[in-house]
Amino acid sequence: MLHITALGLHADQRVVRPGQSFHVTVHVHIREKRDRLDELVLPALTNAVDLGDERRRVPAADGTDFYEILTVAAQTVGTASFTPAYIDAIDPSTGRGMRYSSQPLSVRVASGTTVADADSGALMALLRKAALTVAAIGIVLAVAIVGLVRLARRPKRVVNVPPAAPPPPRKSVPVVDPLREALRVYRARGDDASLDALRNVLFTRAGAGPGATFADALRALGSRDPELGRVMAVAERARFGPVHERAPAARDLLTLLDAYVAAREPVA
Amino acid sequence: MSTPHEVRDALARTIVGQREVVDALVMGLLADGHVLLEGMPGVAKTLACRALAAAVGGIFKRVQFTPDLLPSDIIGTRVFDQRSGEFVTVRGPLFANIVLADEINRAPAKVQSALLEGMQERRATIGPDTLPLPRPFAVLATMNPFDADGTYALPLAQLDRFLLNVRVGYPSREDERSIVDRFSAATAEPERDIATLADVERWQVEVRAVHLNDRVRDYAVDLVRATRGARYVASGASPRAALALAILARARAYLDGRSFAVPDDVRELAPGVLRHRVAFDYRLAIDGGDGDTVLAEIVASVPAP
Repeated sequence: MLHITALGLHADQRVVRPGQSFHVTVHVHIREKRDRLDELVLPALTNAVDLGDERRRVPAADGTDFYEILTVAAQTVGTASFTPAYIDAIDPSTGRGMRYSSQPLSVRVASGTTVADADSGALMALLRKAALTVAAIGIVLAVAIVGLVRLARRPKRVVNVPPAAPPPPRKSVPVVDPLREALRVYRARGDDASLDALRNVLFTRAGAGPGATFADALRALGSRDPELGRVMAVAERARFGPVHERAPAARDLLTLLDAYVAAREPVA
Repeated sequence: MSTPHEVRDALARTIVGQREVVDALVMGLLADGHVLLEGMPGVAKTLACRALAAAVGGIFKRVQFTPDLLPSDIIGTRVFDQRSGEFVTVRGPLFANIVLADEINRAPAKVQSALLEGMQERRATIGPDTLPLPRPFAVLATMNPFDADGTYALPLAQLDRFLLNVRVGYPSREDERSIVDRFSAATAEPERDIATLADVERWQVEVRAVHLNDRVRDYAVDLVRATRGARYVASGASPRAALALAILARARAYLDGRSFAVPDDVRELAPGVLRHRVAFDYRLAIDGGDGDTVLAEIVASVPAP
């Protein structure tokens, strides 16, 4: 059970050049004091490549902030888009499982050497744009102030972030399969944290809830998917086995998982 | 060379049902610890202990604890030898590989402490002689928690010496029919010498070599710490409980054919390790609760790695 009070997705650039790297940050605030947030599923990228990521945890007086900072590079002129980051958790107010999702994000990819070049034009056009921008900001601020005043008058809810349904998959956006994503991250990092995240995804796929153990997952799985049971068993060895057994188990795990995902359709 | 699975299978053939009890006895042996069995009379507690002793060979002694028992009845005594004109040491039933202390709570505290001291120190002092107890050495004690008249409750400090406390419940209807079929016409004869004492000592060494990952160790420690200050708990489990969880997790992994312990090992064993090490306060009785339910809640409150 998690009290999620913020789940944001934003970029440090609005317009980038092809090949230019920039940062996309997923920010989550929860009311609980937690060391990790394995439930967070990162956005899928279109027209951008993932160069690496870094997770930061910042303890706060009213809970914990997590920042997942993705370093990405735009590919071709057009739009680099990011599907919403999301967390599947139990809503404390209803006790039911729910998906908490961020907004999607788009970054314009323009040709030219600088943003100014990309947007170069007549001085008047720039001034007109600036005036329009100022006006737009003014309107947005006014609406925001009115909204905040109204919000302050309303009773506070446990979860401030409205649970958003996952957006319908667009043709250009691939289906986000948590297992494939967790496998990708584990292959890239190969550390305990990414293996823990992968185990959690496997357990969830088996039908076990958060905090489950291998035995719970096997019980939940029953006889539905014996191959998944084998994968989970190898994951246990890779995670908890003695040092000399972990590396071969990790290799076995990747091989088994590659075969497993190859034989199955992505599951969002 | 025999395996612990063969011992477990031999016990399972003798004891109908009670798989959890059989596993606990074998794990206790593997972990080189002592086991306390609690249950109503007639649920095969004593038979299970006898079956284990018969399966691993060695010296087996049974002591029926009664209110008039003396420490010397367990440890031994000094007997005067008329031919030599000297006192000689006569060892008591504690000097055995497997000692069955039947109804341990029916003897007074001084007898209990004599036994428990031997369990902890693995040696006993008779007069001027301090003698080591045989290896391997295990005490299997039984206790009836319901028939409290004329009993002496064991203090927590003494209960702490038992690695595991196993609740022996009634068998299922099917198992009970099987018991009637098998044993109404013939007595239950345990299978003998499935393994040797040397096998047991080898297993115990191998169990110590089973890998315990840091996160599994931390999980065991966190579970024990969670008992302290928990609701309905007057006194939480000691660090000895964390040690017991660690070694038993290794034993369970070994029995399962694994070279490493997993969080499931710790979680499955936690009730048996904590049950006799946690003292519950009066509010639990007032609210009509039971200790095992409280322990299950404590275990569930600690996230497994």
